[in-house]
Amino acid sequence: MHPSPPWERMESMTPSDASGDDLGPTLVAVARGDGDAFARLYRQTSARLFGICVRMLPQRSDAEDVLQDIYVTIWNRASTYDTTQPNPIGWLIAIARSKAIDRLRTHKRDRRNTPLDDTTPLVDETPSVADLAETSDDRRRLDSCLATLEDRQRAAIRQAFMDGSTHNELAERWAVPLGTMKSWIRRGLAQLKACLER
Amino acid sequence: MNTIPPSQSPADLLAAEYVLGVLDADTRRAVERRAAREPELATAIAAWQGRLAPLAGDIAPVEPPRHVWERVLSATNTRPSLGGVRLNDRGGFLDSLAFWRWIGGGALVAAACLLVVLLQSGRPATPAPSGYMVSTITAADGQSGYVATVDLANARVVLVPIAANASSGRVPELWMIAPGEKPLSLGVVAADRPTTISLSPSLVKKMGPDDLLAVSLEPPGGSPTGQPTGPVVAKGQISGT
Repeated sequence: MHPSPPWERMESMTPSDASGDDLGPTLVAVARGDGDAFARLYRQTSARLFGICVRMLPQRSDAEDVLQDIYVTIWNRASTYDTTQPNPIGWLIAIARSKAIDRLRTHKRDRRNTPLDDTTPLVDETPSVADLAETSDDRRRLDSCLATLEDRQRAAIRQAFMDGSTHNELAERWAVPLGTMKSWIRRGLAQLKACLER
Repeated sequence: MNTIPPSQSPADLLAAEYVLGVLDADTRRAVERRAAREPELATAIAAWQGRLAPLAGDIAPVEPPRHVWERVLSATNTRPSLGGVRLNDRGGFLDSLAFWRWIGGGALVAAACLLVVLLQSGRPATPAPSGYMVSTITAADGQSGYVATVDLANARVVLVPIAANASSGRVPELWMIAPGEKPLSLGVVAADRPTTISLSPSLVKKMGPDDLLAVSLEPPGGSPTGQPTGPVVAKGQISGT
């Protein structure tokens, strides 16, 4: 028996997305083995989750394989979803990112040679279109706390989240010592948490 | 500024790094094994997933190719009924008609006629993936809208607002509508500055001069259903240059 992955134990997700509103009942139906509900879930969420895969995985075929794996996992594990959670889309995003990161790690050597493109700026990510779009309370709170970090801490955390890069890869790309990168990210995360809990 | 606040226990820091995705493969497996035994770590991971999840809203949705769904069905041995399995195929006719009525506004008959024409014309010849296509996406009043440039070689569309597109609490979302097909979301866009959206190679191949681009106003984060739910404020046809 494998240890159950941590996303099965999520207890305190907060809402991050309007599209999570009616996914809860759909997930419950998927857990019962309802194929139509599964198709509905796929239709409602696959573009968002595939966006995450495409962003993290340079090879389109990898992104497609991982998306398949994500939905097979959702189908198999829907019964472990805690229906009292307010944020089903957050649960799905956590599964998607975790799968994409695992795939990334298996292609680590290839990735190291991937040239930087203009979607991964070195200093800071330009606020994306969704900065405008996401006006949920959680998003606003996260943004205001991110704004309290030093620029390089904020940029490193954002880039790590978007690309799933390791400490090592980030340090190489930014041409800073590994210890420096680790400490930026650790301090940034610690400050972020302290701010969010205030 | 330079010290780690006391709220950060080693387990919590590990959870944060795990969720952020900066750990290597071996460490990730080790964290997962520990989380299976240590409820405190599992709870910390869940909490970090909740804290960071809103960042995923910055990632533009990308419509996956249809064969992925077919592979999922086969891998899970699932057989949804016909109503459930339809995704972006022509089975979406009724939804599509509803949408056309909508963007037609009062001109219901004209929209329906246009739909018939589009359905009869079939797919346009597939353009080679090079060069540019442009579309002026205008509102009925002609006072607001966007200019879209489709850059085929780089698989992206740049959308530039040509006037203030005020939207109280709602956000503009860009849609591509191929003749006879459901609107396909290209992502949420900015109302007040240029937005660049990456396109999948399959979408670039599909894109033709008979397709429409349309902008609807959606709840923050984009349409919750994958189809337009708010008013269409502007639309325009794609044309080659």
